[in-house]
Amino acid sequence: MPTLEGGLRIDVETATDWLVLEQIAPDALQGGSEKLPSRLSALMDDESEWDEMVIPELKEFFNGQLRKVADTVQAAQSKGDPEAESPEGEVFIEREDGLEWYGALNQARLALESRYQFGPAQEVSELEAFPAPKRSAFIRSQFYCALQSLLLEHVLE
Amino acid sequence: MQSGVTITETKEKTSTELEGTWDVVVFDDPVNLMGYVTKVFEKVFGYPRERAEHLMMTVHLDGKALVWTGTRERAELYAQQLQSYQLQASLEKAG
Repeated sequence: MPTLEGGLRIDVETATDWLVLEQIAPDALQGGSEKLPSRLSALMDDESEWDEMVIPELKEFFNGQLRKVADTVQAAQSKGDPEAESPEGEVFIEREDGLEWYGALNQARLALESRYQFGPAQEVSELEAFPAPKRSAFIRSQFYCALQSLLLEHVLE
Repeated sequence: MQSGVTITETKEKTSTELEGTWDVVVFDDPVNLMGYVTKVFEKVFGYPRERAEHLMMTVHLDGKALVWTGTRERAELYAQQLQSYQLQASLEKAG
């Protein structure tokens, strides 16, 4: 939900919601996000010295995006009452953090796509035939994409 | 002594090769949202919405698009910025 300050608020209602939010950084890392800068610049020529000059900077930048998301989710979880039975909570994405969130979600989607190769427009019937890990990865990828669309519409300038 | 001569020749050759104009090319990928790619082109190059959308559609339909042409130094800067937005970008010597 968009906030008055130009950010987004995610209303967390179930334990599964928390699990999906916690999974953003691990999804990106398990899919080899360390290799993302090299993949993005795979077609750069040798003269550019990209490996020495740019890739380390991109790695640090992308890792920073994952740290921001993981820290925000963790902080939101710790605000909840540990004694309460309900796992409900709120995660706020501040306007100035929108690009970092978008980037982290993109890393996770790129990694999931590279690992499972969903391809464009999966049919629901195909989805049911997927093995469980691929099906759950696809659902997470769809959720990440929906969140990116909201960020694009309401937060990113 | 011999190796010093070789290094000088290589540097001269490299410097000459890097002169002239260079194209910045962006490639399609299965993940980036169309609206996001348009926004990145607006932000990085300062292109108006219509031009940014046209370039985004070229990337989407043709698999790649030439998004900027100019000096090598500037082209490298743009390529780095595009990659920081997670777009695959490279440089090609302008033909």
